[in-house]
Amino acid sequence: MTSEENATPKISRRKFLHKSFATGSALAFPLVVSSRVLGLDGAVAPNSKIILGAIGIQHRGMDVLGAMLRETGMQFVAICDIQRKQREAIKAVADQKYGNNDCSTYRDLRELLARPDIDAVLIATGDRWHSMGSIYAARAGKDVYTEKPVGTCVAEVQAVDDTVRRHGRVFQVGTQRRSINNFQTAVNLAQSGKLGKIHTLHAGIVRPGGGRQWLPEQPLPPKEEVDWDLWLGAAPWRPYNAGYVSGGWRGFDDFDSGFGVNEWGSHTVDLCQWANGADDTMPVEYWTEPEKIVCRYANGVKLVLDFLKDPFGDRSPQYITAMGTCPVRYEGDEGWVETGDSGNIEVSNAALKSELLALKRAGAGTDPGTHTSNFFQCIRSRGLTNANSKTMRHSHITCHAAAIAWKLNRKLTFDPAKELFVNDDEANRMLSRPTREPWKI
Amino acid sequence: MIIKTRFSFLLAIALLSAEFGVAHAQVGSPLPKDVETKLIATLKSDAAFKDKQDACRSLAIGGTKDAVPALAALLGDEKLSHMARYALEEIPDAASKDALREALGTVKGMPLVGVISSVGAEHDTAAIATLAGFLNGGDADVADAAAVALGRIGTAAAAKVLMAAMAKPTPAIYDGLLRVAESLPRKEAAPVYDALRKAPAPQPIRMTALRSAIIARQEQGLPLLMEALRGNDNALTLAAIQAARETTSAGATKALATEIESGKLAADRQLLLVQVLGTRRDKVAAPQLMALARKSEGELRASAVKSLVQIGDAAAIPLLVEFAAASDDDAAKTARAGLVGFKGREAEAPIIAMLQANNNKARLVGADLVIQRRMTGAIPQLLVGATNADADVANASIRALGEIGSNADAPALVKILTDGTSTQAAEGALSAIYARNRDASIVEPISVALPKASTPAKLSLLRVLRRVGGPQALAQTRIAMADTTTEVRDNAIRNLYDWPTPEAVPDLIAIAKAPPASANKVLALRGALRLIPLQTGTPEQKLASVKETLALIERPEEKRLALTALSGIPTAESLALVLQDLANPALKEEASSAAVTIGEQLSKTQPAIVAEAMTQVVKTTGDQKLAKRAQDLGGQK
Repeated sequence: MTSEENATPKISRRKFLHKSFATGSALAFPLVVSSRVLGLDGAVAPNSKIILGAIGIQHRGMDVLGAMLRETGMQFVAICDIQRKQREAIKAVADQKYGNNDCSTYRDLRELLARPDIDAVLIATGDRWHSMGSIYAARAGKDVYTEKPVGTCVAEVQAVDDTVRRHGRVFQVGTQRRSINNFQTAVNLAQSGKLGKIHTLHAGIVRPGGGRQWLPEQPLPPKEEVDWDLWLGAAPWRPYNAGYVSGGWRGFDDFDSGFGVNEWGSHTVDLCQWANGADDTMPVEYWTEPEKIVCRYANGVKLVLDFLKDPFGDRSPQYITAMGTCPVRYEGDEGWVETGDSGNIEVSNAALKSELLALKRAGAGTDPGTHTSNFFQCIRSRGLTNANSKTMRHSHITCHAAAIAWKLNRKLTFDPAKELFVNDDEANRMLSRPTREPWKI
Repeated sequence: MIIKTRFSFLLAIALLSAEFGVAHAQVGSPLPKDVETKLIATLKSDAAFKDKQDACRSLAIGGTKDAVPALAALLGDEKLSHMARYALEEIPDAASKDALREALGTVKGMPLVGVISSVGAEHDTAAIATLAGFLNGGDADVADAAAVALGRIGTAAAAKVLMAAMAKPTPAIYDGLLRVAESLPRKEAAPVYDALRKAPAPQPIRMTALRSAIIARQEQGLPLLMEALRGNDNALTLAAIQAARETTSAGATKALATEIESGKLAADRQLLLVQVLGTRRDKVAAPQLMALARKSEGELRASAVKSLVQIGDAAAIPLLVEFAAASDDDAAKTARAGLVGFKGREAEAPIIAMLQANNNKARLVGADLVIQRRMTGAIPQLLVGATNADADVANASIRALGEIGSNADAPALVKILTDGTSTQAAEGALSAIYARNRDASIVEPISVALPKASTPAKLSLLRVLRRVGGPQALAQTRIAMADTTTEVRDNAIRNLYDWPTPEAVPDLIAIAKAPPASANKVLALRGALRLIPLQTGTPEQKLASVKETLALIERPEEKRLALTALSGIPTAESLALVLQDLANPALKEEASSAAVTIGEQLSKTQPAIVAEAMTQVVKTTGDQKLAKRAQDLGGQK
């Protein structure tokens, strides 16, 4: 298979893409259904390996890829990155694991996606590529695990869900807390009625921000070292600065999602949606209050996005600091439950404590292991993942709607069926961002 | 109404027009006209790229048709074409759509690719013919963009164009067709999907086309679904499985369940289909799944049970009860989990019946289910089970009473404890009830039973009292300390060492002063010193307690505990007592720490005394941080 190092120079990329797709070999799709073959007991049929490629792997991406590499029945074969040093670093990891030199490297994701032997991709770029990468991968017939948040605007979120469903792909967004038992237990408590009638859901988030500013222009590096145009992708053009590429892209509206609301909100709002049994809908009203954004569902339940003064340190007074990062709290008229990334759960009374007796010790909320396993199981069964595109759509759009209310600093009414603000053209014009050519949703 | 927003673009506007620091006279209104005029002028000027980019961003949010000509003029500009579209797509006026369509005939290269995408986003049916012409042009990027745009436009006319292009298909043509079919009526969409699934397309396209063809046809798609389920192409079988999960066809569940019943499917496909029936949550499939669960084994049986649980049909409850108590295999575990989580109260009577079953396994499982469902309605049956001749059943029932019972059940548990058959389990249950409810009135039935209880029962009840604490429990323990039986007396004293509440301080000090033969003076002292900080009296009263212990302390270990207790008493006298130990090499650091802690509480009211004490600390302690705290309180080097 062609990689950027060994591509035949006489064939252009466009021709290559069309040729490889048109002749795409019929994959030996194993009908893998028993729990042994599904990998539930660690055993995998010899011919049923899932072939994986990855796009944009750095720190968090390496956590997820590491978890995937521990899976049985998976072979990692290709890395795409716009930075040469990252391509080489990830290739070294793969080649060391497999004891060969087979991991291919690509600068352009379209070339990796054109490989017919690749079944699935992991996308762990910055936010601006999560949606476009997912859309292009789904169109190319790949199953997708992408880091969150997905979509720098509502239109991109919608396009990801629509494309994934249109192409029948298995999709998992990296909101791994859906697969971690302390968060599941807290949701179960909320849904069981043991907290009484739920009236308020709290989601801890990083304080929103952002802007249109540019970093000072720096000399453009050779494309082979850093492909700046590909790094920008569908975002508006701006001059190169190494700071963006090395991870300093947060806080710039073009690259961030929902003015930063989606950074933690994609986790914590998503968990609140789940706890409220609202995976298929969204709040209908959004407004700001000091240090928070408040949303209200049609059934009257409030969703409060609390700005944490020190998200990675002292999370009081809104949350119990010992619960850890990404805290959530569900309040009913008979009690409350709170949890976070520490794996601990706190409840309001002794009776609720007894509900926690069966809870197995949870791992850290950042551990992607059970989530990636769920992804691979669903690839084989074509089942719905824990964090599928539909649930992602509603929780991510909720975050965006809250962010727009914060940005406009006024109360907004939202129609969850139409996914539009009611009688507010200005807010509705913030729902989409036309993509830079040649990228299209 | 003036509304402040957090838009940084307002700053850009302000730079253009100093008089505008805030904007927008109404919710969702366009930009003020003079601001828009200045933004348009920026686009027409030789302003820097960044300024023009920001002007486009602002026009995207609040621009009107007045800005369209200036934006349209930039569509052919390699650098600014995207930003022009950024604004044009958002301006809700036909002029934008017209401008983008007209640009299809004027712009070239990458800007054209972008304009085509915007035309698609605008769902511009008037552009279909022009887009059709691009499909067969020489530029692959332009052709791809046209195919995707036609898909987004989503009309029958767009579908016709794309179908014609299937003669020379590309990935974008496939995608365009899948997309356009979504917008068509089902009858018109089905032939599009058929064309795709029969084309020499890549496998993922054929899979999703088959799935979509089945779903689009509803009832008429079921034969196609069954054909793929039974066929030899594994990929298409998996696509059919996906369709089976997603189709809203009214007869789909029945057809799938009948297929299960027929037994014709290979085991692996049957297993997948069983899982699908669970996710469909349609009660129609319950009879077939129950039959399958009974006649199958292993993983297939467990999956059938799991699907029944997902469906949640009350008709399956007897089967779940039967399986739950039959073994400990995966099917049994799934059945138990299903009974625990079964919504509504329909599962409760069958679970209570398990407590009365003839076989002990059912009773044991039933008791566990009662705990997990918090079924207080089962308490009468648990009380019966608590006296069962089988020790396992009795203990499981008593444990369940502890987990869900209340003080109202305490007399029965005390009786079970004193009867001597399940003493340990009953002790655990009484302790569990108190731990959960924190209601000290649980002491009352214990107080009644204690005088006549056997020695083992007394020891057990005394341990419960020690966990409860408080004055009533202490009163009973004091009585036991005078019991005629040595073992009871000794145990009552030992319980005091670990007493949880401070009422026991005088008793512990008394024991330390004149320990009975079996008592341990050190443990009594340690118990007292642990409880003194919990006392609710005045600092002087607490100090009096500590002073009583100080007279009895012989070892540095207890002295350290006394210093800790003193550190919580902010008086000049406690500070003076602490300072006495600064000269003791074994205690000087603990004494210094206690002195600083007291000093920090006392410094506002008695600064001179504290400062003098802190000077002693500074000269004594080897702990730099502590010395700094002492200096902050006036201590001199």
